[in-house]
Amino acid sequence: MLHLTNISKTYQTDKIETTALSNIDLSIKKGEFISVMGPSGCGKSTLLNIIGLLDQPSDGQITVAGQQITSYKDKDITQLRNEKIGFIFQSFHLISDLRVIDNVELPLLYRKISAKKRRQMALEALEKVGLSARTLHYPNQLSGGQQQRVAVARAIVGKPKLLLADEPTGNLDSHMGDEIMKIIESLHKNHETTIVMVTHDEAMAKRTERIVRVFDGQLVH
Amino acid sequence: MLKNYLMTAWKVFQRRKFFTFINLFGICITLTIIVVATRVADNNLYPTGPEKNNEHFLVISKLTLTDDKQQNIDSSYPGFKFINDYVLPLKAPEIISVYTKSNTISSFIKELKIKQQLRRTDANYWKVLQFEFVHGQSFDQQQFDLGHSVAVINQHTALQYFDRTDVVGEQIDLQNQRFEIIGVVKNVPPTELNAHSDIWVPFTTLPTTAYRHQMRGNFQAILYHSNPERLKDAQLEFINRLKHEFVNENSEMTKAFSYADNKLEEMARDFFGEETSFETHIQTLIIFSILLSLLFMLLPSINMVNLNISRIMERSSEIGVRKAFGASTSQLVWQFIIENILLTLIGGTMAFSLSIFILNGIEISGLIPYVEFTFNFRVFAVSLLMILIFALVSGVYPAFKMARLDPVIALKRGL
Repeated sequence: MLHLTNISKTYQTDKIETTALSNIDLSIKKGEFISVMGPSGCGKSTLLNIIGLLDQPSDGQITVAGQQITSYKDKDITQLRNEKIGFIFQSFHLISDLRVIDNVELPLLYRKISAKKRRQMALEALEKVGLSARTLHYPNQLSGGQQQRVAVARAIVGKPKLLLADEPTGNLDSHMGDEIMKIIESLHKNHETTIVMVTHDEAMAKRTERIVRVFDGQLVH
Repeated sequence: MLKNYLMTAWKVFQRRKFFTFINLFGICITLTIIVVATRVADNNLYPTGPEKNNEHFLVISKLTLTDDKQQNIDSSYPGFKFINDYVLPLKAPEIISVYTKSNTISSFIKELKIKQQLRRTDANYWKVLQFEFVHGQSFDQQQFDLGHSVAVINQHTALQYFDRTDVVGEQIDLQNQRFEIIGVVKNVPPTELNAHSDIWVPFTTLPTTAYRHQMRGNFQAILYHSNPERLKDAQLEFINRLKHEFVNENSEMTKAFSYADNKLEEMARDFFGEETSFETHIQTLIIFSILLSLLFMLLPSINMVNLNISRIMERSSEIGVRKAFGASTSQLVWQFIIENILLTLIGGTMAFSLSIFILNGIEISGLIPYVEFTFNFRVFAVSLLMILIFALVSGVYPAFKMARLDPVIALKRGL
């Protein structure tokens, strides 16, 4: 499904060069559910951003489904992200000006899908996360757990092959966190979605199939 | 996609009322000034009164005489002799009308001194300009030739003298001459330079014939042709005549410069023309007008650019999310540009309403006597164009700047 070969990421400021990731080799199989763990600032989110094609590595190669991404143009990467990848962020990142249903529809706007079909797919996604009754609410009218469920619905509405979750339960209490985790687990089980989840929570990580640990920008085995 | 952009924009405006208000206020004030200026310029270039057929005529209203070395320059209105010798013989125009500029005269009505504009004209004047008669008619060629003391007055003058407009057959005294009123026309605003006056009489009623021998004076001429294309021939014929046939006996001022201009050319020459050149500088006027409009829009645009960047910056999380879920940079650019165009169109609509209110105020105040500002498709189209330019100038840069944000940075900023 996804291969990272010798991936490095450095940030250059005026005088200092900071290495966020160094020589990362990682393969993720189709349908696998892995968690990425490590202390704050170790490079977990940077790794996730590179896997999600939001960020480009300073060095190394990314291969998705046998195709090398480093040679892709920005337009192709955008399309790939739209069609293949879904994101769940720790702080939800819902658009406060839009209603729940419009937030969930957002990834479909950038595909050639009719408005009617978009609405139907968004309603189905909201049903999966148990929020059919909140479609016309605005995000700030929902609890944290409900907002994260909207974010999950948005991530899965386009039926992505790869779901990337950056500490999806980090801003939630344990009960809400557990609910979100159950939804993510059911996606993996029922739809064979490949999932990469960054987490600080050892208990959550243990519920995944494999744990990848990062320390000081390097994978620790 | 467009529908979605518009819906998103509308929701953003509703949810961010303060920003929307500040933006709309700035847009509305700027565009009101532009719409008012456009309407006033349109009123001058495309009159709706007697000069509404101005595409059919050219006006000669200036004469510059110089010596051979062009050291002495003397500019004034042409005199009758100049028009008689060099304008009336022209063959290209179908009709040539000769008339004086309007002069201020004083009259007494019920022991009250009032000032009025008096213009002396020939009979052709009433053929080339499209006056609207409320009562009576204009004087004809015979009345003109015989120097009949007849007058056409406007409604305002009729009301001043007689408190009514049906005054054909009444008499008025002007500059120690008594005239019989034979026609009453609708008021003409001073923006119609060649038609505006309060009273019109034949110039053959002038007390002396001295004017017939004057090269400089206060006369003007209109060259009329039913086919506007043919006016170019009249222009050329007039210039050639001046270049090759001008003779000013017993005077060292041996060269003459004069022009048969349409409205735009006249305006261009007033601003940029040189007295001793036949160049109209019409392109300079157009470029200058465009630059002036852009410059006027630049400062509020810079302000709007700042506002827009702040407005969009607040939404950096949205930019990050949209990019993460597959929005391309160009799609985001369009989204923000369309938001700005929609906002500017709303501001433009408000500006349009406000400008109608202001122009009505100018009409009622009498600041420009008799003027009537009516909106037409042309004013609407030009105003709309200005509004769109304003929207693009103020919206494109922030849209590009923000849409090119790195998604990771945009998401971090949005925290």
